[in-house]
Amino acid sequence: MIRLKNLTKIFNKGSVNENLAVNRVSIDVKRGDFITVIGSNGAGKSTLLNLIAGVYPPEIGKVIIDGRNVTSLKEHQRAKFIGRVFQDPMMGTSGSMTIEENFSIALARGRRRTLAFGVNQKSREIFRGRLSLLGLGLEDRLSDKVGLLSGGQRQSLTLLMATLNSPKVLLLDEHTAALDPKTAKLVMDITRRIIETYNLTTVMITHNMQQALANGNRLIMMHQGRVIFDVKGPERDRMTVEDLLDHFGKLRGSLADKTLLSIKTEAP
Amino acid sequence: MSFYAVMGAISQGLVYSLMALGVYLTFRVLDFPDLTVDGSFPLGAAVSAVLITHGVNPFLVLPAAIAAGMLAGLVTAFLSTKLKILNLLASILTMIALYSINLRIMGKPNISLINRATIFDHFASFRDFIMSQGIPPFVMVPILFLAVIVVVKIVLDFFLHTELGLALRATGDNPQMVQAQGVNTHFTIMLGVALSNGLVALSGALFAQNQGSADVNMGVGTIVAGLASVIIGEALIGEMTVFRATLGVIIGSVIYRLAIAVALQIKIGTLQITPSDLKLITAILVVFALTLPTIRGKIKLDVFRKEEDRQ
Ligand SMILES: Nc1ncnc2c1ncn2[C@@H]1O[C@H](COP(=O)(O)OP(=O)(O)OP(=O)(O)O)[C@@H](O)[C@H]1O
Ligand SMILES: [Mg+2]
Repeated sequence: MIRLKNLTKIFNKGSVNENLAVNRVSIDVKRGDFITVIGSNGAGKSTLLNLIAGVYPPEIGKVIIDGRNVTSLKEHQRAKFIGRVFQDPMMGTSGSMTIEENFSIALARGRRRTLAFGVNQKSREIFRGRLSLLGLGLEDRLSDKVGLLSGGQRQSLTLLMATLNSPKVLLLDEHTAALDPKTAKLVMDITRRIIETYNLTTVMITHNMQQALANGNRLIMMHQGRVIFDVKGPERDRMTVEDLLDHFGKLRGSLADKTLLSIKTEAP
Repeated sequence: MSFYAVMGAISQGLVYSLMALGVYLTFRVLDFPDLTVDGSFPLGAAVSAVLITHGVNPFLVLPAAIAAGMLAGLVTAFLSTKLKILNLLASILTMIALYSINLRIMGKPNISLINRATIFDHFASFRDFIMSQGIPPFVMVPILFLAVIVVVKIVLDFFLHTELGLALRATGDNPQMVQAQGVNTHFTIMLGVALSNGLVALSGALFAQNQGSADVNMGVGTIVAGLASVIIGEALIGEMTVFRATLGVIIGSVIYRLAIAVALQIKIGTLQITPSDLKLITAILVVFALTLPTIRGKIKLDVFRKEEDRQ
């Protein structure tokens, strides 16, 4: 479904601050795969997701989504195929607009926006149906401003918006990291449910190794812009957090790095 | 203050409210501080005056003025989005350029429309009807302007609730989000800034026809009056919905002009406030509003405040 070929991103190229954030990464993501990505701070995880989403172009390499080379397409042009949820719950929705207006913006993703009313009776039914999946009671608050919602509610809303038009790929960048543990669990449950219901191909970044092992069918570990560990199938299913830490230590040949991978508990 | 003066102030408030709606579109909806206004207002007046002196129908002149204003807005948006010039600076560049362009269009600093047919002359029978009801004829102008404003407000409110309008509103609130939702923000910014300046130019065109002249300097300080109207509207009517926000802008503009008319009557000792003092007073008013962020809960006009003060 997604093929990353030799993907390379260099920030501030040619300056003293030159930074090889993603270094010749090639990954083949199959349809229906749910990949979790872990790695130390600055490993290049977010940059990799941004490259897939087209936030900026790669220096080298290609991004192929469903057989189509999208490397030269801008972010808004790729949005048709891609659903995204960010770490910051404020980032995925417009706080000054209502729930139904936000939804309407998501509903028109991938097609030309018209001069028809964004919200109508028919679309309201769709929104209500989707929102009732959350079990948060938001289906009765369609005309409330999103700014009034809690972080967890907003993040759940972003998830629904990201998956409204059945994207080919769902990209999640630490989307539960800014939430309190209870809400994080709730949002993760909702995430799992949506991914299963619509059988979405997903790439999820997380700092929580427990979460990385408990979800998905494949795990990728990144370090200094490279994929240093890639595991799936029964081998992955047997792994524990301890195994992951050991593995990372071995690969790095240093135990000091363990700390870098430690579970992040505080909100950034 | 005489009834005549009050009606004059209301007329001005109404015609300027078109400009203020444009300012609302950029500053508030798009979060794009656009000073092009000071150039696109006289641009609308200049196009209007020149075409009328060339014998063009005064109604047909209006779409031409709108188009000219939209073009000016497009230039600002282009400088900002495609050439990556800071939006505020981009708009100042267009505004300055428009000064020369307006002079070129007019060929001289001032054009008089006295003895030329304006749109108001096409409502002679309406004027007669008003007079037959025992109402003074000068009441016709605010009535006509009110009709224009009502139409513009309805169309604008409708537009801001269409799919395109929602994308435009979200662009100002959260550009990251709309891009992830497949919106080309360069397009929405161009559309919004163009529409805004189209409204401003229409305001200038109607103002010139009502005043009976166009002057190359008539745009100075327009933006501050527009901002003042937006702020007054938010303080009085609020901004919870688009409907209220645009209504607030219109009422804000009328109140602003009435306040000015009153201020001009004020005499402190031997000090008489003159029209030339108004820009200072308005500037102080806007500063006051900017530094009082708690008027009605929240006023989010923080684009002009220093970066470190925000949030
Ligand atoms: N827009 C940018 N401009 C310059 N450098 C950047 C930019 N974005 C990321 N970087 C740099 O690229 C490297 C990789 O950053 P990235 O955000 O991808 O890391 P990450 O794995 O997501 O880390 P974290 O776990 O902290 O989110 C870092 O050194 C970072 O400083
Ligand atoms: Mg990151």
